[in-house]
Amino acid sequence: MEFSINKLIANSSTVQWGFYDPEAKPLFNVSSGDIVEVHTEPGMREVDSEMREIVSPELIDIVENGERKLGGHILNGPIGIREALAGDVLEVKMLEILPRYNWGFNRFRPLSGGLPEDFPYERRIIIEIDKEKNVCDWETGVPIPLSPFFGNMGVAPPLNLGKVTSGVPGPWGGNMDNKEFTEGTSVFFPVFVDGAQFSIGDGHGCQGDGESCLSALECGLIGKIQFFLHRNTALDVPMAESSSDYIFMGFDPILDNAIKSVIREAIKFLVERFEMKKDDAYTLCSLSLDLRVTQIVNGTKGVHGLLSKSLFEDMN
Amino acid sequence: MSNYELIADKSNIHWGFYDASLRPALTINDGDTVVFYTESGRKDLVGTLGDRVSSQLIDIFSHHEQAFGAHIMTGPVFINGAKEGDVLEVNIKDIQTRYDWGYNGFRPLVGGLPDDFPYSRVVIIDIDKEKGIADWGAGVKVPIKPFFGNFGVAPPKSYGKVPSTPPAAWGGNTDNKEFITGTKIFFPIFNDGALFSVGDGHGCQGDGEANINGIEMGLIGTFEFKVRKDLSINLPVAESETHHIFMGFDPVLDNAAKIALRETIHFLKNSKGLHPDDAYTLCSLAVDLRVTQIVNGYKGVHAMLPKSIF
Repeated sequence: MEFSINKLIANSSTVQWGFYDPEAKPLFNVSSGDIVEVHTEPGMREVDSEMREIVSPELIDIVENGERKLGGHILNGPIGIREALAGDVLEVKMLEILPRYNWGFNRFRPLSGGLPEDFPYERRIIIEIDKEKNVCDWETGVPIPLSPFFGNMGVAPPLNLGKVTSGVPGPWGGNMDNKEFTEGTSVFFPVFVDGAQFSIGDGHGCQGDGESCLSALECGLIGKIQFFLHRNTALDVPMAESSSDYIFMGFDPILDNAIKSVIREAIKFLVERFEMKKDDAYTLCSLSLDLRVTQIVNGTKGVHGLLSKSLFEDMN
Repeated sequence: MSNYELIADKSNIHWGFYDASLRPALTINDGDTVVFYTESGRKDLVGTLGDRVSSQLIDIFSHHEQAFGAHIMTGPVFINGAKEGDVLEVNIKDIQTRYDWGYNGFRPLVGGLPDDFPYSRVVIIDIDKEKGIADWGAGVKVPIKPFFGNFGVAPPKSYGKVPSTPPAAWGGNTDNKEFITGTKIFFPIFNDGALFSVGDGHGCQGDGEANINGIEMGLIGTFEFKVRKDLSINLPVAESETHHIFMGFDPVLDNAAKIALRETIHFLKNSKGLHPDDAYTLCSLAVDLRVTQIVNGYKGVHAMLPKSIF
């Protein structure tokens, strides 16, 4: 079967800046199995003189001519998926993710981030990206390996929510900032509006679990992503599958609540997919589910659970 | 450097608590190594398990009353030369499973999802040491990766007898699955002799310890002890073959994450000479915050700083 490949390069007419909108019209439509190559830009609200030296003309076009609403992320899209209906599941597979530019930045600011009391001021640094050596560096003498992924992606939220900020994660995806979503991973989203209306951006060159200071290595990325529509399944919140793990997610302003959602999602999955007894699934979570802090900086915080697929080799 | 063995029995354990006034079960010198044979178990499982239970464990059940917590702690070990304010370095040389059985249980009002599981359940888990797997008949076999969930030094004398249940400055119920063979743990010392105890063997556990138990089981642990007068810490920290590990304990995870993050930034500043602003950014880019456990009242978050980036 031949799949079409579309290219979607961020500029002021191809992005949603700061929001997800259930009423937005798609830039174009693709079919299940199609591949889209997205070229994304990091989010910024203004291009100052230091940035003007390095950013692309497209990013200047977005900042000068685009219309920002609610949040700050520059999201390519929306992309419509033919035949997708509310209640379906959209699988988005990360076929390839590469850094687009030789620069990125990291920033923290007052009243946000993981330790606002300790860092009550703003700081932004430009970080050099060495694509060949696959590291980034900002002259601390500690080069950090790249492991690129998209921090923000999702489908249009339910109609009743209207336009939502790109700043938070939610059932539609959004600002999940999950560092596990690297090349080879499939992310599954519940579909809320016809056509699904998928958007993607917020490239991160690398990030630790937690995204401690507020931002990661914010950078432009080039991603090849493939869409698959699933009909005979349903989801309440996104989940993912990497080559090695099933990944469950919970979102809540309080980590203690987010973590409960994750354990519940994992148990539900084990009962439905592998027909485990609920009690055994709870025990298996205690023995094998790794609960990790996705991010503590997006207002609605995130916890994710990793469950090794190797446990089920005999059961599949 | 001498080698010792300490096999848990009624004469050398304390059940469910730490206490600085306990008489030492063993006295050693700085640099010595001790092999601990620990026990885990519940009185109500003895009937089901029959002769799989050791005579020492039966003896412990009939001669001791459980105070506060569930953990059968072997010790304390008095380390000559250790003084309040020093740091105890515990080098985990080896951990082996001791028995062919363990268990996992949950019960009402505790665990990660008390609202969803308002009843008691316990399963006996068979340990296949040769294949390195555990099985309780649920259709999945989980790999064994043993570590001690509970160890530490005696708390400050002013605390008196404290439950073994929470993790704290003296260590306690850290339940950190990273503490496998090859890891060094550093504890602040609050009493002369440090008074180290260990128990709560876990055959394996996920980050979070979702339902309140790992595979609870007897383990054999070989620990080398060093008194470090050149260090000063407020909370336990660890170093595995691949990572520096920093810990935060708090009833609220959001606070525990902040503590672990502050500990990491403190280390990056003091030991690696980074400016705090750069350390904060480095945490955002390269340090993984993980949920240690959510079931010990005081929850835990640990930060994993990869050694390879230095």
